[in-house]
Formats: sequence, C-alpha cells, structure tokens
Amino acid sequence: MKQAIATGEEIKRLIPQREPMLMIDAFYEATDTEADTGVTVSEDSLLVDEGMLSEAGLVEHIAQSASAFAGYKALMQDSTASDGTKSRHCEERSNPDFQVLRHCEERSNPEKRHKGINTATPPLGLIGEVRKCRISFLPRIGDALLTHIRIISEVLGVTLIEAVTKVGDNISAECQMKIYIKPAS
Amino acid sequence: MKLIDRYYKIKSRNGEVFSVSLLPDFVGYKGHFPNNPVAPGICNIQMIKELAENIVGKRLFLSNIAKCRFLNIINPLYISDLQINISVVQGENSYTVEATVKDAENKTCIEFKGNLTPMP
Repeated sequence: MKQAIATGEEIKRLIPQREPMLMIDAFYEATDTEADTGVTVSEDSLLVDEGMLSEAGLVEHIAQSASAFAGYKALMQDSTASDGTKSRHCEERSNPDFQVLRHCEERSNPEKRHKGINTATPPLGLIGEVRKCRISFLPRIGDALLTHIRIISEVLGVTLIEAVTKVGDNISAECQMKIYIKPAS
Repeated sequence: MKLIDRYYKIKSRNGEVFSVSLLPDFVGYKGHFPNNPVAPGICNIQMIKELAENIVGKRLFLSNIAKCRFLNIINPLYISDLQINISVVQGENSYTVEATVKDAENKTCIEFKGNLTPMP
C-alpha cells in the first residue's frame, strides 16, 4: 500500500474545489508522470444518488485527481526554484505524513512559514475533454475508490491523462481526459 | 441526486431540442469554485443523461462516454439560458446519445457522444 502524502483537509492545498464538490480525500506518493488518489464515497456528496456515486461523480473524482496531481507538481516545482536545489524532504517520497508538503511549501514561501496550511493557492483545473470513458459499475456509499493517474502529455497548460478507478480489485471506471490547468495566481 | 430543478430547469422541449435555464443558486457553486462560480462540466454530463432519460422515459446508466468536449466555460453569473440538441438512437443493447449544448449567442459549449443502457 502506498503512503498518503495528503489526506482530508490537506487535499485543499492541492486543488481549489471545496465542499460540496470536493471529490478526493487522499493523494498518495507520486512520480513525475504517475500518481494515485482516493476518495471514500460519502452520503453527504452532492453526486450520490440512491446510495450510489453517479457517473458524473466518478468523472469528477478523476478530474480532481488530475488537478491535484498538477497542484502537487506545482508545489514541488516551487520548492526547487527558490534556491536551485531540490529539497531533501521533497525527494523523500516515502515520507509518511504531510510534512513533505508543508516543508516544500515553506521552502517556496519562506515569508508564509507560520501562517498555517492554506497559504498557497492551488492551480485551477477544468475538464477540456473526456474520451474513451468506460464505466463498469457505480460505487456505493462507504466504498473506497483508488485511482491511478498517468500523464500522457503536458503542453502549455493542457494535460492529457489516463486514469483507472478501482474499488478493491474491480475497475469501476477508466478514461482519458484533457485538463486545462491555470497556474496559481 | 437529480440535478433537475437544482442545477437546471427545463423551460421548454421541442422534439429533440431542450431549452433550459441554469439556476445560479445551485449549491455546488459554493465549492466550484469559492467566489468564482463555474458550471461543473460533469453537471452538464449529468444533465444530458437526465434529458436522455426524459426522452426514453426510463432510468439509464451512462456506460460509455466516447467523447465529450468542453469548448467554452459556462459562468452562471453571465450565462443562464442554454439550448441542448439531443439525439437518442436505440441500438441492440444501448442508446447512442449525441448532444450539443449552446449558449444564448449560439456558441457551442459542449459536444457529447456516449452510450446509455437501461438500468437493470
């Protein structure tokens, strides 16, 4: 099992979506091109209908996973840009807790060091295109979704990804998606 | 939950053409995004599914999105009236649905093609 880099409220540092549209609750360790995310289907979700996450909810979860990946990469990039050297902690991808993110953010924004966790504005991601999307079944309330994202290409703020979302060993959804990423202002 | 009368309202239907109004007080705008409402792309996918259900008169499952392109951002503060052209063709195991969403200035916002199967 991969280690979570961010869970719960910490996710809000990676994406600008908020309740009741927030559709991820965990971001796991990532490489430059691949990442894993998760969400547990909550009965409070706007995108749950008759006890099941809707197709739209699945697609939104994948889109937010890709957006969070962009947010994570933006934090990592910031942390290397400030002094030209990569933070040791940022490279320690196996670091088990949120210290990784906090440390990278502090390096990139030293003046914001003690202002709490919501100082950085995450990039805004919007869906440009969904294609080859197959939905096999709708997850139920309480199901834990795990999504694997792979970046196919990144050109001028347009990121093409492919994603597979599973509940346990069963594939619930897979698709390709084009996401427009607007960098943090 | 259904998005009809929460996210959008059907004003009229003329064959395969629906006129809808987006509802600016949709609760989802609180989080998408705070102080910067943008109509969520997936809500429009859900709306297309609900309109297809309206046409065939039964519950449908969206099993496949062959392609859905979002060509223009829909800001609910400026855009409320949308026109949706939707064709539903019954196949052997599923309905093939094609839809185009345009704003009041006839600008195409969304092109959708997918398959929906009756809920078991």
